[in-house]
Amino acid sequence: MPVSAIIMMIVALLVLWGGLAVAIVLLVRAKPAHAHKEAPGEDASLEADSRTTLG
Amino acid sequence: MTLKARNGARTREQWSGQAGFIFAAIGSAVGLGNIWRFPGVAYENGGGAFILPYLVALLSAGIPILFVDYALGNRYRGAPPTVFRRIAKKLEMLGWFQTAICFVIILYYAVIIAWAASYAVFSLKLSWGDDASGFFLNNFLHITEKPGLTGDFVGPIVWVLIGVWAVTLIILALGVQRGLERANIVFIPLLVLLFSALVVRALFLPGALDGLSAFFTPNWSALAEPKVWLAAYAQIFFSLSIAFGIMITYASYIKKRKNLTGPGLVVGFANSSFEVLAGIGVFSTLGFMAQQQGISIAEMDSIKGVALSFMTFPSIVSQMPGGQVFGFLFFMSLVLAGLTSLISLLQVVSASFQDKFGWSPSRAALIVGLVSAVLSIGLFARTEGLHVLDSVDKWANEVGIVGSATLMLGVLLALRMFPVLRDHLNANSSFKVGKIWLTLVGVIVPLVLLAMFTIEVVNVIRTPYSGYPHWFNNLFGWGAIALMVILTVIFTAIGWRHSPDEFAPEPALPGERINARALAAPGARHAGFADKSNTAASPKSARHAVDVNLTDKEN
Repeated sequence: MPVSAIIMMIVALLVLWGGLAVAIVLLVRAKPAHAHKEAPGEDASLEADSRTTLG
Repeated sequence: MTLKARNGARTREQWSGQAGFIFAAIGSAVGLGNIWRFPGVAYENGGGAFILPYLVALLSAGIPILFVDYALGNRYRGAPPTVFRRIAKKLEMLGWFQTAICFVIILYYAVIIAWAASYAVFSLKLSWGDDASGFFLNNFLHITEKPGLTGDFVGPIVWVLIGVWAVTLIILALGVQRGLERANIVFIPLLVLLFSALVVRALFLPGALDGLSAFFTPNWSALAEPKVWLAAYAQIFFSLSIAFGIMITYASYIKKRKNLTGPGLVVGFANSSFEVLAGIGVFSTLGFMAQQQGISIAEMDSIKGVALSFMTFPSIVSQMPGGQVFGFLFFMSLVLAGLTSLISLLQVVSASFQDKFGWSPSRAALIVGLVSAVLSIGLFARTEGLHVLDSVDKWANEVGIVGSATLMLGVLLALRMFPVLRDHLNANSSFKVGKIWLTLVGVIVPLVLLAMFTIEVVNVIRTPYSGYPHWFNNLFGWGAIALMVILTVIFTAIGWRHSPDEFAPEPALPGERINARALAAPGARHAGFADKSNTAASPKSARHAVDVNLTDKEN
């Protein structure tokens, strides 16, 4: 296997799988700061239709 | 569970949390194209050098448009027709066009999953014998030599297809959390597990290194060819399920005020990571076959698409020790990747009908699913099914999807929506977007898409696709586009059960163009609704709303 092929394989794996790992870490670390606290009585699975939200 | 709001409208379902959405979005993005398209496209467009334009396309188009879809769906909370109507009434047509694209793709996508499911079983007995190509075309598909309309139904395919539709409808009818989310949380890890086992086995086959060498050796001169860059953008574009309604619909089930860009990065990189994994698995296996036949990879035919999966791979499976297990892993991977994408496509159509007619998820799934299943069987489970599928797929993707995406970005640019979407993303997300994102989605990506669209349309007009006669491509290729347009016109013309216009997006943002009536008359119905540009609220109050929102996050 040529050296250039090995380098490109490493680059592809490093950038994409590395990028995925970094994205997951960033997401997990960001979660507490960006979590939306549900108001009392807010249903976890359903939202009220938002047609009157700012009316 | 059937709950209704006070005004009679059905309440909108939501993902249970971030993980549910991420798994579903990855399930939608990782489809058949990741396994059977990417490796061949990369090999034909510079091998290892293709990684460069591919990464550029991912970062400059794939992830930025993914963010556009997420912002649209999460802000305007609906399937594409609802979302675009809430931006401007006349844009409802664009939403229905995206829904119609999904509907057309569903019809043939399900058939390929049925083929893969059949082949998973065939693998256990190596049913194709010594002639995999002959078995696929003659014994399995009973294909007609020339494309035509004289074909008969192929019984075994019909029955498996009915099974595929039954599973899909059950998942959809169970709703977002109990159906889509649970299915993806099971299917995606299972897919990764099965496919990883396949890749590990492939890496230990004799000739695997030759295959990897062919796949990753860079041909740097290819980078000077515009077609290589367009191929990279096309691959990213089709692979990520962007700009034709799927991600808009999925994002509409994310709770309000949630991180959008963080999950977007995970989905974008996960999809591409799987593609590279698929490239390693497929080319290691092709390297084995090349060695067995004493030829080079360059001399091999059928390294992409249907031919790769149903002709080349079965041949390889027959030649390798323990091929039955290898074949089963490969075809089950296709089934799982296909099924998770199929349910996302069908969810767009189902959600559009739920929004428009006030149907429950189970009712929408049943009606939409049954109609799709009948058409799918009637058109594609026949002896000429492969020819029809080939033609419809070409037009649906390269004319329908690219056209829809070009139009969507053009319209959003004209309405100056990108700053609003940027503010929506930044109000709640961990990864902020700014001028670079605005430049990409507002200038560069539309230009690339316009180039792709023009080249493809000229191409399909000038050259008879796949050697099919003009009448055949006109009937099924352009016919598929005509069907999308007809469906768009019909469903736009039909009235809404509950008007989607009485809606105000959150958080309120300055300078937003939305339905004037939504804020002016909350109780009004949409009949006679005047489509006027307006701002969501006074700039001062809107700014305050964003500030409060951001302050909440900091706290």
